[in-house]
Amino acid sequence: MLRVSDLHAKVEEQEILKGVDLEVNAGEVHAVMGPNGSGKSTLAQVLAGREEYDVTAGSLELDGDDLQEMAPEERAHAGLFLAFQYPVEIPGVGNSYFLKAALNAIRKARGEEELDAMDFLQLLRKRAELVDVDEALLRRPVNEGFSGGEKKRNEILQMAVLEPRLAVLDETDSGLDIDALKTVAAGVNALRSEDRAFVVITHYQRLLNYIVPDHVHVLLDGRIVRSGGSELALELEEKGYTGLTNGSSGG
Amino acid sequence: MTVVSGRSTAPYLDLYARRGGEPEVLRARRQEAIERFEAAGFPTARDEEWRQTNLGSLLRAAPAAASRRPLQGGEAARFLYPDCPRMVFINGRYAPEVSSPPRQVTAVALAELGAGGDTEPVLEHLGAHASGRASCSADAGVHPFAALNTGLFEDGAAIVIPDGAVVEQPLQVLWLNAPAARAAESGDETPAVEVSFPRLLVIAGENSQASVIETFAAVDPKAGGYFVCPVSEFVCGTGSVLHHTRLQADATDAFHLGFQHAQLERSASFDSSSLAFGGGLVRNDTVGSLDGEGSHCTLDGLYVVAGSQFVDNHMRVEHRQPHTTSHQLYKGVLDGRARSVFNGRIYVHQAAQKTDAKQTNRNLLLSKSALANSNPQLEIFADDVRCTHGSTIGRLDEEALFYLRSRGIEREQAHAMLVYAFARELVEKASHEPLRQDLENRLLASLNGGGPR
Repeated sequence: MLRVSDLHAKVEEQEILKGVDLEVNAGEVHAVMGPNGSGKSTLAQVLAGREEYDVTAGSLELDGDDLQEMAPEERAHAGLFLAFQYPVEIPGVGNSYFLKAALNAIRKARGEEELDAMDFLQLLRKRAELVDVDEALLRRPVNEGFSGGEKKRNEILQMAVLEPRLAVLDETDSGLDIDALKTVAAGVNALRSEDRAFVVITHYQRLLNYIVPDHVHVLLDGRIVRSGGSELALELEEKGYTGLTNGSSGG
Repeated sequence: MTVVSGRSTAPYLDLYARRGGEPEVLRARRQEAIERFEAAGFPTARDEEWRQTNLGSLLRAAPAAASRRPLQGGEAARFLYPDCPRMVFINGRYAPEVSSPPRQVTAVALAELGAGGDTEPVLEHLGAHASGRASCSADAGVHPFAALNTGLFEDGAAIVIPDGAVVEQPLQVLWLNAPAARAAESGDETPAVEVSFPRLLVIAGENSQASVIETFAAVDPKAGGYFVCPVSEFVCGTGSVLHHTRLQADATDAFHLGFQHAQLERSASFDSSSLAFGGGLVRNDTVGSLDGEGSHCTLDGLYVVAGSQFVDNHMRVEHRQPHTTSHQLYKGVLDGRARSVFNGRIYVHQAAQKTDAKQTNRNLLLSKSALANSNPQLEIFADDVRCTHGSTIGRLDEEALFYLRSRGIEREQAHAMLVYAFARELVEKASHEPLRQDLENRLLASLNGGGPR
């Protein structure tokens, strides 16, 4: 589904990604772990199409289509979703209005019929229940005045409504207490399916107790230095990132 | 053909000399006003109040009296709100055939003044406040365009709301412009503009309550330049509550230089929203004079401009008595090479203890060439007051734009959503639903029709 090959990217003349390879198939959950500054968030932003990030070499493909040729909205239409590390506050734009506009933009791009207000509201209520989001949040402006936990839950709600094929979660666990973490994980797990894939980016192993990955990758200084099964996350927890620097990179 | 020098008042004095006459009761004050205009002359760049307003293009044009024409069927309809009583004017003259004046109040076409009915309150107030004499601080001086209007208005509306009356439906006053089509005057260096002088006087009786909607528009928005020079006066009696909406949707190459003045007695409340979408050279001078203890005025506004439009709002709020409050919120959206000026003066007189004044001006620039100027001016001569002001000039939040796009929303739509979010509070303030809907449509249309970004 997603194929990242020898990806190099820079921000403001500084090279952050120095040759990332990553292949994700439908139905899989991949965890990308790494310390601060390793390039995790850059990878997420590059996947979503942030213009400030320059891809200088390598390729990004989603279902065989070149992501670099696609605007951020076109990537969303193709089924890509990024849960932001720092969701943006948008005063004046209602949360449910925003979600309806987004869903209908995606449906329209796919040649599907747009949902009317009633049908959308029904869908939204169901999804809000699934990810345990209070209906009061739906009536407020997007993320404005939301607590850290509410913002992260709102990201998961958007994912549940937009039903992407590939969801990238950028440090969705950061700043969450254990109850919020469980809620977010439950939301993700409820959406796991055979034709959907997840890339879970995280600093800590903790989240992976609740979202058990099929593959774990360690990103250090802009390269994936090791890959393995879910046991790799536990090894990391034990040895720390510095204990891994002598490890060999694998498949 | 006479050659008109840059700042000459002569062509306007000529209009006065050739005017069609006026009701007898207005003759003296008209003469006085035109003399004041002649003495003051047009402002120049050396005039502090006018130094950011370039009148060159207006003063190079040769003024002509607005042509007389009947309104053709349906021309006014798209500007009217179905349930509102209305007075419609075309090129500054009353069009009774499409008007349905309100029953609860006295509404007079000014050209008919003195032809019967009680003219006393109208004569007492018309021009008494907007002249730059009675109510403004001494240094306010004469407003030349207000004086010009008093000297030259052909017609207008006087609305008197009786004491204690509560008028449910808003009253709409529509000022339509339709300059006569002119053959191309090749080689003519002084383009002609038709001038109209809309004049409105609203007198809200004691403890009365009413809403007035003023709409300025062009029958054909592409029909070429014209100059509209309106004056609106609001006299708010003790305890009255008056709402005012001013929608300016003139042709984008029109000149629009307006003056409005609200005078408030004890515990009166005046709440005005000014929404400007049209005009090429636009200037609005607004004065709120809090003459009675405990009176309150809200002067809000929105300007949405693009291309080479220029819009200048000059505000002046006079706190003259204790416990008076004023709120100003002006927001601007500027695209293309558009420029704006917001000049907000709050003047707190010595007697006006416990004044509470708040002023905010926020500007959103959508292009690199757009330019917004914001000048707050506080002059405070009382010691127990609260005055706050703030102004911002910013650009669209790129983070928010990316966030919306990453959810599948097209760039243009995301852009429009953010601009709408910035401006919406001034549109949604309108409580009359058809008006609110109209303002929303105009805002959305102006966003979609915006130039290159």
